[in-house]
Amino acid sequence: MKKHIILYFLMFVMCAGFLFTSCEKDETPVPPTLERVRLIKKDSTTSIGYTSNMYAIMGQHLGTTIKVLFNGTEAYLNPTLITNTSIIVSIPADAPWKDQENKITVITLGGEAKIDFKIQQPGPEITNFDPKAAGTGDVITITGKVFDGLERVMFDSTKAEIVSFTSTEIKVKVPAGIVQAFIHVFTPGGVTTSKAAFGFKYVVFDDDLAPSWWKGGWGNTTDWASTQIVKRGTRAIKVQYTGAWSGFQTGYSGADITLSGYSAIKISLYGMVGSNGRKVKLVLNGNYDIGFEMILKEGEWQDFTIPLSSMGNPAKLLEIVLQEAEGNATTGMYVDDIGLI
Amino acid sequence: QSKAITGSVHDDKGNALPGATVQVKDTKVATVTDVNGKFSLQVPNEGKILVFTFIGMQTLEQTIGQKSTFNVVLQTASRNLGDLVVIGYGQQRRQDVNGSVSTIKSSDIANIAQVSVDQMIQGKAAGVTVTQNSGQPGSLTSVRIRGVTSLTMNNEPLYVIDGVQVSGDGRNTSTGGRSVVSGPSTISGGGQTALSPLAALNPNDILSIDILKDASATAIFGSRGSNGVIIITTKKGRTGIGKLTYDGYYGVQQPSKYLDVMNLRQYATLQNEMAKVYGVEPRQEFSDISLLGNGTNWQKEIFRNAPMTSHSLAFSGGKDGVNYYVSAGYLDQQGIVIGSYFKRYSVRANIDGQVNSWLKVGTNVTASRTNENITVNDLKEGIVSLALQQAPDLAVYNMDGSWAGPLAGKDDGEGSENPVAKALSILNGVTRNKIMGNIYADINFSKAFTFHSEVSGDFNFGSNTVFKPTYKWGRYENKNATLYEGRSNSMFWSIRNYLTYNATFNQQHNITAMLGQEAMESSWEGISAMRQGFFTNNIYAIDAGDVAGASNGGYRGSGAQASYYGRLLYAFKDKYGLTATIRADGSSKYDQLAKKQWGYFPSFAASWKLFNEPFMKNVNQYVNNIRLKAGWGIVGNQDVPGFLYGSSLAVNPTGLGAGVSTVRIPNPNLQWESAMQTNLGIDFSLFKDKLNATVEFYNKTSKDFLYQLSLPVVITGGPDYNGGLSNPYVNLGKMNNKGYDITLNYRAIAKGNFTWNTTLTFSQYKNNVKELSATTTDITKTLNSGFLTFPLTRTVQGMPMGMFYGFKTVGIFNDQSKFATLPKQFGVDFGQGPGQNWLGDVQYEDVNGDGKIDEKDRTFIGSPHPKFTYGFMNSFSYKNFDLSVFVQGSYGNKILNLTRVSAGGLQRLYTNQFADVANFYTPENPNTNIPRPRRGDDNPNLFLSDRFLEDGSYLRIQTVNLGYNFSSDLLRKVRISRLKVYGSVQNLYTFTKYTGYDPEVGAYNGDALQLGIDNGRYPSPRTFTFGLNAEF
Amino acid sequence: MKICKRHIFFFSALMALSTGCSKDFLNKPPEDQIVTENFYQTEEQVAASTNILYGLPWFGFNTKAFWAITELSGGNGRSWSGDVVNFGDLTVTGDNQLLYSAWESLYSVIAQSNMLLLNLPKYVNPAVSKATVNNALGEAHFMRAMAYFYLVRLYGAVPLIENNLDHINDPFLPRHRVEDVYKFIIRDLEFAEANCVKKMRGATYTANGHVSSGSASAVLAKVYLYLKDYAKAREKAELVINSKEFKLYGTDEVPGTNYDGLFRTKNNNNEESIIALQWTVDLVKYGPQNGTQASFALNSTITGTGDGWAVIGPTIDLQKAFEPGDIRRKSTIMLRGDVYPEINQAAGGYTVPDDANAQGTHAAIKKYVVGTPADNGGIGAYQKTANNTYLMRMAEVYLIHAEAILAGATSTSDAGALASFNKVRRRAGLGDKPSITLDDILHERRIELAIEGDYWFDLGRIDRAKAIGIINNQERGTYSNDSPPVIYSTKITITEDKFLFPIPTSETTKNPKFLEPPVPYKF
Repeated sequence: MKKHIILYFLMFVMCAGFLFTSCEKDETPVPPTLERVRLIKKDSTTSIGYTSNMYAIMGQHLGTTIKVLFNGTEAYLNPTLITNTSIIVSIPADAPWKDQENKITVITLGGEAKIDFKIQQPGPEITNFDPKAAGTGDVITITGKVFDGLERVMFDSTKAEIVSFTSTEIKVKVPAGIVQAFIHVFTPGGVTTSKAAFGFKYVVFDDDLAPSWWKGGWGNTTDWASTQIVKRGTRAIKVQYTGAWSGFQTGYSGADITLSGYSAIKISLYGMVGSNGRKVKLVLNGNYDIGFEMILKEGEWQDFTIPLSSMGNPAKLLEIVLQEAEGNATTGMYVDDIGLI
Repeated sequence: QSKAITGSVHDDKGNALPGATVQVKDTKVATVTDVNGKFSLQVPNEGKILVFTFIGMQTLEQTIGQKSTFNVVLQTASRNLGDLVVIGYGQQRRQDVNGSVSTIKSSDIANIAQVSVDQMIQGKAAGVTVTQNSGQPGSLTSVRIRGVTSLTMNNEPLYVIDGVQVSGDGRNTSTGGRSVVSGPSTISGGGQTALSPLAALNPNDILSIDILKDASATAIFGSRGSNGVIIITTKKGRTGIGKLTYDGYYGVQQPSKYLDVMNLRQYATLQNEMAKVYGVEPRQEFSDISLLGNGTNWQKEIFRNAPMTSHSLAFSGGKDGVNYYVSAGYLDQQGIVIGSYFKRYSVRANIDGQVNSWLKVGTNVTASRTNENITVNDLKEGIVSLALQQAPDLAVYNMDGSWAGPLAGKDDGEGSENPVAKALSILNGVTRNKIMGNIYADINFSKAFTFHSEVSGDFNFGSNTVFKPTYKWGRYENKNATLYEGRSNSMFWSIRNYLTYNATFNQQHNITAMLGQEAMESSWEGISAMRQGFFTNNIYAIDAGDVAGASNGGYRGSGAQASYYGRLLYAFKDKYGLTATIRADGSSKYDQLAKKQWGYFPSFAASWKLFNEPFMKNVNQYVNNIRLKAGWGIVGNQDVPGFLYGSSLAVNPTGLGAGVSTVRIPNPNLQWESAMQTNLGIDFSLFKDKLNATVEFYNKTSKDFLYQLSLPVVITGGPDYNGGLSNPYVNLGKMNNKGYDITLNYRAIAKGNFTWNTTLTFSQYKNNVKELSATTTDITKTLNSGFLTFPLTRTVQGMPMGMFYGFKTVGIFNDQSKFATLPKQFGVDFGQGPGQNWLGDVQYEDVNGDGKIDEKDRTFIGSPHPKFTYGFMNSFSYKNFDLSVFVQGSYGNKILNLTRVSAGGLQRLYTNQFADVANFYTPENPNTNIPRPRRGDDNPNLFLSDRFLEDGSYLRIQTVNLGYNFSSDLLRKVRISRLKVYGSVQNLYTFTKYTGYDPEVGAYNGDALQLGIDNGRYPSPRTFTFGLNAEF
Repeated sequence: MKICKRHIFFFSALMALSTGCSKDFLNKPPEDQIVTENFYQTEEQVAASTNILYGLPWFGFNTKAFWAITELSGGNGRSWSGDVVNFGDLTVTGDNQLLYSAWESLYSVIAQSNMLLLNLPKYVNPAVSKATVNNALGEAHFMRAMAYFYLVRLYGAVPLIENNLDHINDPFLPRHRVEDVYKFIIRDLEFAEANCVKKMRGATYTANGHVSSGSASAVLAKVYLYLKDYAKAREKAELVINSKEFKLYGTDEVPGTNYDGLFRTKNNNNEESIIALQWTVDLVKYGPQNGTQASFALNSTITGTGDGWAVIGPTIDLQKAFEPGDIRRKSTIMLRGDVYPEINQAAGGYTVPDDANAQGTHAAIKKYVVGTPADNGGIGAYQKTANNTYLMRMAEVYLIHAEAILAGATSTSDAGALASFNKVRRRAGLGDKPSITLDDILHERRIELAIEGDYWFDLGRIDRAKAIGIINNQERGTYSNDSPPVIYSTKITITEDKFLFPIPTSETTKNPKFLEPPVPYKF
């Protein structure tokens, strides 16, 4: 009997050791309840949200969450961002927002729960517009994404008349007085701006020289990527004339640019300090006899539209020169938006 | 006419000993005791003496005389000074051994859940420092006998297993550094991969371990014994009834400690701070800490409670002069880091037979097979290290069950691999098949002359299969499964012949003389094949891969040694003893033409048994068994790769075809390293032989020690595998190790049924580099691992080797007004600009006092060498119970904790850190010792300094073992001779200030210059074991 | 007794046998390596003896060091990765591993070159032709010069070594003066020029791999340029140009080719390649391969092998530096929406995704990114590709020529200079310039050799104040994830001392002489 007690003792020690080393058993999952949705950066309750943005779903018994659906679309879940009372999750970029039940569905091991949540219309995107330039009243087509509920289309500061629109396409008329401008599209989802400007049929310089245009010039210091004074976009060309009759020059070495489809060349100039009233001559293709003199205005952008007819109707565009036209070196200017219309 | 004799044989605990042999000396007449320990036999007239023997018990001789009944008690062999010690090429009574030898009996290491015998030695013998370099199953354990003798060479002792010599070198430096684990680190992951050469040996087969420590004792082994010799004797059969023994246990290992790293909330808080330091946008999901949970606890994911099973079955006995011991063992140990495991299958056959009166032949053969999976460890990218660094906002699995990983498309390329996925996906399997054994014959020419002839061999066949499957761990996607198959084999054989003369003159002069010869050769080779582009992760055989881009490789080499040796043992009147040995070794490692091949190594030792002197009679009442001994000797070392004396070219592929690169800087003058050792010792007993003590002093000086120079890379370029020149090997200077070992054994209580024995071992060594050459005044070891590179240890004359070398810290800058008066650091003005030092940065000490902090202020900041190590064993037994508590420890060594750089340096984004570094410097928290977060792995806060050095002292409750022996009365009924059940705990608790997993860090891959460096070491587990020993 | 005698006899015989064998028994030469004195016996062996100088020793430099040090410092690339981030603002310390890798690797090249120069004349079989021997010696001199050229530009004064074995027992070398290092380099290159074979680069690419006399001339032109010896730079450049040994890939000199083809594995050693590191993929060995794709590629989809860490991204500065229409841009930088048919061919090519964002740059590196193993004929593996790394190509010679003619002037309209300069631009699809300034050349070199580890050295060789101005104005920041993206600007302010990097700490610790002023070299 004594021996058996000892045996039992040893058995007990063995069992204790195994218990010591065993794992905990999980609790039985409880059905989840959802209370609200909030922002992450600050605790503001919201019932609306934008795709690709992060929100926290607050509730109870969320620890065993396996799926979160936004209007039926499953969101990527990082299991470490789930606690029993919250789920941090991003609304999938492709979650549907139009004409939906507007609910978030949370599925856990214990069950399912829903909460009202409307996905806001995402911001619009302009992918292209055509034609690149047109006259007043002409219709251009803007293609892109999420143009739903279109509110207005602006050419820079001018509102355009909308002819028609769908989710992916807008037709508008070009407003009067538009030489060149960025296109802005306003929808309930936000605002977007076209990458390129409308107005030029052919761009020589907007923020960069177009392909195959080389950088030349003489008797001057040229910063081809100045960000100080800009007419439009982020960069303009800063030209500092340092010698009399010096020239700003850019030439073309690519495939021919035939000028038959164009009516004018347009260029914007901004006079630096001390340049007020000074003359600069525009010369095309090295034809210095035919030039268009422009007068600078200090501290102000001017748009010059020069008909090709007054430049000798050249057949091709090979080179553009802006020559200091007074034989008096020290003057400077900013150049932006060179193009053909 | 014969005489009938009966009797019984019991042990000193009163238990009957069934199967004990009773033999009439000098006759063939013998019998064995029955289950009750009783015997009877007919003694012929010429029989004068009865010899009683039993495994593990001291042999007893009794004169027959007129007695017809002999009820004898046999003493447990380990307790008595009178037992035999294996001294190499022979044996000697312990009391007669003149050199320094420690013995560990099988009972001392029985029932311990450790897979390798070298681990079991830890703390059991004085002067022997055992450190587990990695907790990975099957990995290399470093055994240092009396400190370190060599700087860059192997410091492991020579193991002699039943006469077969096995190198303890896990790095295989003498065989060109080739390891079984040879798979490319690009698919296996790299890290510490040194495997234990002894892991193939089943500890249950071991009868005794004799550790030869001083030169006199090791001299007979010549050059191979320069780091000490550990002689392992396996169990043998005894004449008598066959016995069936079963030893088995089941264990569960668990991590003994978890480190406190940041949880998700703490991590998010830190990341928001780091975002400012790096100038990036803070992560949106971390904007409101209160929404976050704890995130993934990676340590709990990569560590597991791992089972461990061992079964061992042995059959032994002896009849008609043939004794046998046959055993089979099976061990299955899962590692506590997921994915790692070690399996061993071993068989052993020890057979010896007395063919006739003058010829005895025998064989000891063991065959084993080990399987293991090596996980990436001891590396910044290792599993353990990754678990500390991996961000808690990364899950182990995605919701769909696939492995999670850093998301593609994140702003930067930061983010580490999923350690769980890495550990479980990559296979780095190693299989080692080993056949080791010897065949010998002892010829008794006459009573005095015995000729021993022996052929022994050790044949190893290894295979390494590394498979990297296709996987997708977040942004890390591998569509290209890769398989590496490596096959290597190594062979070692030796022929040994020696003639022993043993005679006694005038009953006073006892001489044992021996003369012998030995030739040994080792050869090794390997071949590998590699392909990628497998269709599936399930089939991985080489021919299932894409032949395009397939690669293969191979290597081969060999080495040889020839030796002659002689030894004289002399004892006078059982008072004076003398041992003299000389050995001549010729090695293929040295240049024959330069006449450097042969080395000559003499040694001698003497002892004086004071207690047998008449003038000691009175003293003996109080201090008995006093014995003085002294020894001196020279041993050589040749543990270097071959052909260092010549120049050779390695072939490597290039885009232009095969290319040859010079890999050696030749040194024709390379010669034997020799170590001169002096040993003084005293044995004595106190308190009526209750306390037995051995105190030994030694002084070991290595001269002309073999050393691979550590030249500036400006001279050598990178290592040879990176296209540079390998550093040359030279004979360099002199190094000294001196110290003392104390062994105390105290039989505290032996009253009735209760006994209490206690054994204390205490060792201290002092290492000192006495001389380096005039041209090499110091040796700097550089760390190059995981984006870190800096000088690590430095060895100079007059200092111990491998000392940590770096900056001393004063504290943290926290007072702006003091900048004006403080030394400028690293040539940069104080300021808040990039790369400048400012409030919150580490202030270093101007060691040389020149008013600035620069490279010249690096200095010695700590030593990895312990001041002393100790082991303390307590054994209690009461009736049928026995309990042993074994405590071991180390004091005074420093550990360089590199995980505090990688997971505590506050230098990277997306990397988790230890929780305590959350208390880093901010203007609102100026009095902390944690510097501010700062960009880049190379920022000055992370220079090697005493900031990363920690006290590595520890006291570990190594083993608690409780057992119960069932009484023989009960067992007799079920035909069991002996049954013991036990429960034990390994590594129960470690008392230490060290903040890492385990203060027992050891040497990285066994390298003595990388001692005490923790780079995410695989921790040693706590093991609970339940087992039983049964004998049928 | 009879049996005893027999055994004694047996014993003695055995002893004698063992002893008798011992002479050969203890002689164990290596079985898997070649004993040096047994090599260099045939023409093929001597010719192959220099192969290694194009591969393995350069590995450490090539894998990460060259782009981390030069491109991040020079403002062409940026990274947040902890091991290289401090190159971005030039706050690296001597503990930086990449500085160590570069140092170690370059001195490996020197060591191997020196050992060849030592062993070849000593052990060569007299039957091998002098020309073959001299060619090999020339290549060794060439590669040593190349390594020193990098070392001097990275670290300034560095130790000159002609025989490594001389320093085994006295490793405390001093640093040698910069002017002496350059003198040493020129001497080596002149030796190579005189002794290496003259070649005409043809379509047999495998024959083009080894450098030639012309290669030496080309590198000499570059070295003279760095020394501002414009006359000699021009002389050497014209020598190379007029020899027509090297062609400009992607022009009518090599019909049916384009700029992008320069960086394809199948076009290793093309007509334009002057000197390139020769990589190969060996699955078992680690070191013979090109490891840069692992760091450059945007993701694992491109590499297919689990690497592709996008450790470096092209800076906003570099992205904006390309002129519109420059075809080099697409071959150098991946921008969102770019299509690369040659990458991930199994899936029909690779379109750069809209969320491509290496290190906050909204772009990724393309140069030296060659795709999956399947895209390269089955060659390639984790961290391993076989495409060559250029150390110099012909386009650079043209630019050197132009700059040599400019000869430090403000600008030039010299016909020769313009011809060379515009030849490079035309290949890139750009228009001619009527006159060129130093800025034009620097810009052109930057673009042409972007991610080839050269721009930083250009900044290091021009007027310090000018270079500081350029660096201080570079946009090294990142793009935000808004639409349109906002630039989170980062500009650094550097001082003159930042143009040279510290010698690795582990070296200065072993040899404190490296902290002392450089000394003259005894030629």
